[in-house]
Amino acid sequence: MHRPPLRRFGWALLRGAGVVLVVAVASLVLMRLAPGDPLGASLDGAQVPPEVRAQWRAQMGADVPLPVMVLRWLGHALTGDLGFAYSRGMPVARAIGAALPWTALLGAVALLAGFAAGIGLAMAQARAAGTRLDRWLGAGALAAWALPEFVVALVLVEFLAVRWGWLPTGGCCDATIDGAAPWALRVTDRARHLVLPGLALALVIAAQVARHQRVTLLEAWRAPFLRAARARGVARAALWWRHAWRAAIGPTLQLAGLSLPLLAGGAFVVERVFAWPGMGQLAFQALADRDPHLAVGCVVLSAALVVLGGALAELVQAALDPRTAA
Amino acid sequence: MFRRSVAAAALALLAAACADPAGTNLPGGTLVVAMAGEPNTLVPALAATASDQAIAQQLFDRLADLPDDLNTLGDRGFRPRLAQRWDWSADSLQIRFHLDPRARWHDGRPVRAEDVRFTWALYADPKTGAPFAPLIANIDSVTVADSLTAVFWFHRRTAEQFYDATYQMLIHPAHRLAGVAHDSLRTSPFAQAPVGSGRFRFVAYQPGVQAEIAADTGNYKGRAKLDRVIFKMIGDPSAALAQLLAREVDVVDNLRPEAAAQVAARSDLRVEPYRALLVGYVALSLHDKATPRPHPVLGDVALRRALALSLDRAAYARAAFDSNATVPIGPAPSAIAPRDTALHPWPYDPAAADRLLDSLGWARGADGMRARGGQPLALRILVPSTSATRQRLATFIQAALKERGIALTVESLEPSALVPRRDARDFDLFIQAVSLDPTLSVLKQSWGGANAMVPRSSNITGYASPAFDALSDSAIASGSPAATRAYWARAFRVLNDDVPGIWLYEPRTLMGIHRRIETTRLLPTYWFSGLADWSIPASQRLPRDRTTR
Repeated sequence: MHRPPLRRFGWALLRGAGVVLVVAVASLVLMRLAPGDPLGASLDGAQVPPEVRAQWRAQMGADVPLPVMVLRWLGHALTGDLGFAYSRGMPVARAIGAALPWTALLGAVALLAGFAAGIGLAMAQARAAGTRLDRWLGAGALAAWALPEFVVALVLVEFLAVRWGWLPTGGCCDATIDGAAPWALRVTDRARHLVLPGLALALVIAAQVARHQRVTLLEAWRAPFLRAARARGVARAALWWRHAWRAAIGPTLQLAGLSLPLLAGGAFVVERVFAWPGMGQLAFQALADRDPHLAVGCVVLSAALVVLGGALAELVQAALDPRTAA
Repeated sequence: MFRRSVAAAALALLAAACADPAGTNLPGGTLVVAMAGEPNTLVPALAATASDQAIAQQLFDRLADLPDDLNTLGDRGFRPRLAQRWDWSADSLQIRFHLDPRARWHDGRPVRAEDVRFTWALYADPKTGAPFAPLIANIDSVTVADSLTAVFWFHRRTAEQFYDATYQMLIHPAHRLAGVAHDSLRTSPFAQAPVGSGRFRFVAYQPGVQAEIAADTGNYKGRAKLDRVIFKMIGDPSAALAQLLAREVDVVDNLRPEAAAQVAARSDLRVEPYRALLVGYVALSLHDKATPRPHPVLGDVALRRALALSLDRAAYARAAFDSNATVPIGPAPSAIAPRDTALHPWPYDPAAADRLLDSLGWARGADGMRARGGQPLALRILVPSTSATRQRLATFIQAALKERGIALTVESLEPSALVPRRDARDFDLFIQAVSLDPTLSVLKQSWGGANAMVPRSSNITGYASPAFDALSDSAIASGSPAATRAYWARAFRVLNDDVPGIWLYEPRTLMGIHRRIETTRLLPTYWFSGLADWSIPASQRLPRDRTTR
């Protein structure tokens, strides 16, 4: 049955809500079953008496029966209360609210830069298909894709920051530039801190996108409608950008949709190397500290973005290529 | 006459300029400290980790400060802080603290005796969940004699009464917390924006990014010499080192030796070593997991002594820490351990270890490994995967015991998985690193018989010795510092004889710091205890030392 795109989007979101619910419950169960004491890792070495530790566990609700814990969490979540992050001393919403903008900023910059570079690289490869340029660019993309992110990150820090001092080594901003500083200074500072972690992520994204996009571009180039357009005398640039790319963008859009969780989930390794205060570090630390509410909050947010990303990708693809809406 | 006055004034100005030609004594500057862990709470009563304490101790005051020699017996050397002076009752069961009338909370309200009474009630209430509540159990009550006099009443006389009353509690503002349920302290608005009386006041906390405190310019103890301190959250040690080398932070604590070498090679940085109250030791499980049955192997004290004789601990400390560690004589660092010339750690004597193992019937097989009655002499050692030092030490111990015919398996687990194993006593050996209070009384938690079979207690070995309990109880109950020290020395000898643990290392902690920072003496309790007196000479300040607030 053919549905209008917006209605399909709505149904996709509804189905996705069910997925998020299942993910939330599964996460709660797994956090409870995982070995470890809430706050145990952070208290290792500190002399906290067992009766006090037991009290903290009780305050965290770590000892209530699992079904009760799940139902309680679901009930609160429906009212927007994701619980209290005991490892951070603040509500989960506040902890996530503090980390999410940093991850969204880094993710957005990395995705935009990575996709733009990847599409450009793919276009250059496709137009030079079979030539030495195509082979060199392909090898370079493969190498960038194969390198672990932390290797790229460490090399960037060592040379561009520590040895040459061109850019900051890490963090999201200069500790001494506070809210009272001029707006321009703060923006410049944030931008400088974004370059290295953004580059570390964008390189890998660009490599992935380039490889996918090159294949789809070449498929589109060989399609009958492109041959017809060439026969009509359409200019070469227009053939590539207006016709071939539009037909080939679908898988790349899917990739973009599936990359959206980067905006919420963060990239832990890069965040760790650059001390970027994002969701990746937050989620990892929540797991390490066995902070159930915070960990589940992070997982739920990531799941929600996967659902949203996939639905949005389908909507955009349908708008660009109506054949896929059937 | 006028000319003489002008001349005199000019001379005075000249003298002042000569005394401080560069304006070095002017307060100011910004200190950026790399902090490895996020604080769990900003409420002092709930502060348990070093990150919690780093901030709480700048914002809040004690009644009196510990002396530099860390004496906790009597009141010798304690320095007045919130309390200007104090009096003891004739029977020593009361101490009257007279508060400094100049003391103010950061919101301008005066500090009063009611705040002290309120603070004690907060710490002592089980609903609060204060981690150090058991340590103030000897305080019966706190009453208010007048607005500036708080009276502490004790159950019994001990040598550490004064220490209990002053060290364990940071004074909280009653007017800010009176309406807050004690079990809701962690979630209260106060926890997001604490108000103290210390030389620094709270400015802002950005989770995951940094916490900022600023000098309380009108403080009764004098303004802090720095304008502000920023604790920057950097979880990864390599990232922290990179930021120190790039001069984005000024202080990185707990440098690894190889990182310290990099810092020392820089002309704009320096390495400052100091002794923290930290010891590492191998805890030996004396029971068969969490049961009262003795451990089938380690339940034998002779075998435990053989293990101690097998380990060249001085060599391991050198290998793991270079010259930055010594071997402790007991489960406490040298700064607080009893000075007893008769107290010696077990020597490294592999021949004696072999003789002891042979006498116990653990015979070597063809492969050189020992067995008795068909049972191989095989043990497991647990270490956290996050500590490269402890993993290294575990491999040294494994190699040494292999030479003695003992098979040792190293199990390396991430902390959240390791802690329940440790709590359940599901290990044979465990390399423990503990950070102690400046008093030996805390050893009762780790070695006292009352905690031997208590789940999740600090007594992970399950050690229970009536002799140790009697001596440590006598030490704690004694009203005489000399007698207290003597009892602890005897208690340490009992521990050394019984070998529930093999004392491995007492490290010197290395701090990387920017050269322009002038520090005070780094105390073993917490290096940041004297932060309010750190300074940056005006002539050496960087542009980022100036604040825009």
